[in-house]
Amino acid sequence: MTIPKGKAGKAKVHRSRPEPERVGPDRASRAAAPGAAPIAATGYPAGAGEDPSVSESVAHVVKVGYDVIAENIRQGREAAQRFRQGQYRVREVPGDLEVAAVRLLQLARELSTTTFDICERLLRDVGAKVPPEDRASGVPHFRAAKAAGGGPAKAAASPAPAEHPPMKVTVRFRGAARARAYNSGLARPKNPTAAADISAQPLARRTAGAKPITGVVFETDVSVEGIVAVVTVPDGQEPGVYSGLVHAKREDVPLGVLTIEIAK
Amino acid sequence: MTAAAALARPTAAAPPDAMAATMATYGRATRLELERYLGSQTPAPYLDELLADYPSRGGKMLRPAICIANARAFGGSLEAAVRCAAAIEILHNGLLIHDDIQDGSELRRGRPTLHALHGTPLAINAGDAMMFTALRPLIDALRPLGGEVAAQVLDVSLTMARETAEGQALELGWRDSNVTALNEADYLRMALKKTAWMGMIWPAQLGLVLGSGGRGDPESVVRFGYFLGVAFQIEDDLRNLSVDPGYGKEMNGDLYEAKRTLMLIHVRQACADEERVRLDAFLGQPREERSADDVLWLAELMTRLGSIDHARAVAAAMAGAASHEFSLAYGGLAASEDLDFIAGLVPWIFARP
Repeated sequence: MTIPKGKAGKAKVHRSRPEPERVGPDRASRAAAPGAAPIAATGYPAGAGEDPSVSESVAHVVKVGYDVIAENIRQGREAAQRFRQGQYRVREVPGDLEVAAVRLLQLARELSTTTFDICERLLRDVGAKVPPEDRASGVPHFRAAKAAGGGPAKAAASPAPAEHPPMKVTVRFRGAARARAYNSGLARPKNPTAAADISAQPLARRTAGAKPITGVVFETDVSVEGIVAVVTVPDGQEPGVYSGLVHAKREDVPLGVLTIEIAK
Repeated sequence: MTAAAALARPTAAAPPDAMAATMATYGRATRLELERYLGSQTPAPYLDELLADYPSRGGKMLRPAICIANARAFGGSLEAAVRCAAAIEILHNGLLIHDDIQDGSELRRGRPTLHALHGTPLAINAGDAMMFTALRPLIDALRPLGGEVAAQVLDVSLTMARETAEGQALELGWRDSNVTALNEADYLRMALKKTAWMGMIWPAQLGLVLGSGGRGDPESVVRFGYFLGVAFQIEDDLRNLSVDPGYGKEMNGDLYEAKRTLMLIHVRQACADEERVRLDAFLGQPREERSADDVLWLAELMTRLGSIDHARAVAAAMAGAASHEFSLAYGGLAASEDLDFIAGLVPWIFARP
């Protein structure tokens, strides 16, 4: 075998194999290796391949090199297959993206002693963003499930497909009044949506005579699952049950109704 | 260049000056992002100064350049890839901090290592912070590309993290447990995991995924990156034994650390029994007890028994295999300067400063 010095030598490296019956490298002849090899004009070291016995041993290492990478790829494929048959399916984003992100964080924790909660939050947000038009045009939409027979899925299906459970909601109150929430969940947005892009209409009381509650914002909190609705109750708010529709940005079908009660 | 002309033009490995120019261009763009992500208007004491240290020492920016060149070769833009490149460089520098601690290294890029300057606890903390900080530009790079691309990037990144940790564990475990009965396959497996995956395969995969908008197959560049990485690692190990390592590391530092290099594996197999007894005794000593005389003896033994030349020949052969795999992985792409750059990485391994 010759040491490759350009394109002409590439294939030779791969094709040069040791004799089939040999099971180990011939190391006895290596002491006869040539002297120091200067860098040739091609950029490759020159001279190291002039001794046929050395070339044979080097060819063996190249073969071993291919064996190593073939084994590694095989193991990687098996691992990927296990992930994809189990909990990890790449095309089911962002749900599976969250799983992948959690796995990344777990791995990072194993590698390190310090964790930053902000990373967790950022990773959650990865799957919660609507891709812009320029790049999104070539990428399949999230959850664009195909109908039976390969046709496109019906547009504007239910905002909460059966396979996706409701989105958990934690309601937190600000203000002096005693209050409680009736909600523990809302439908998931049809498209990935950041918490800040979810809004509620002013919470109104069914019976007249009370000002609607307008201070409702949605946000994420890494300490709880799902999203957090923060309701600011003004001082002197009339007691009663208040409710308002919740919408995701760019979606007409509401995610549900946020209902709270202000105690007397 | 028209598409037809690009298809007609064969890919040619970029010459050294073109390689340097491309690396400088992509390196500058990446450094701007590094400053943005590592900079702080209100620097945290004992932290931000440390985070900025290694990146300011002027690395080659090889990994970011591989990422950006792949992204552009597969149809993407510099602007879309540069944050991803910054993430790679930040993560790389975080790992270097921890590597230096694990190896007990005293110099990095010609200056004292971070733990030598600030102590091990603060250095570990800075390394942790850099690895997590790397997530920020990565996520910013992915945000406009959609969940499909993000999922692929996380997929290849998780694989890289696992492979790199396994490779580092292998090297440290061999050294700490004084494992001596190693062969070439062991070394290649370690180099694949420890060096090639983080240094070559992952940056190329990220560039491919970004540039192709998630349509390319990240596995297609694994073999090219692997052979490139192994050749790079062997050459790196060889340079460590040279009179002047020239890249800010201690001369013969790998011998002092009893690093399991291809040369060490070869010399242990090729030496006489009495030499092996002395060698094993040397390997079994704590680092601080290894004498300069023994290190010099081992270096001379490697030269005398052809271990250096053997490793040099293997590095060249691995580079040849990398060139072969390049033509398979990138053969279908239109010719471009970025493709020339990627092809030029193979001879550059040996010609790099």
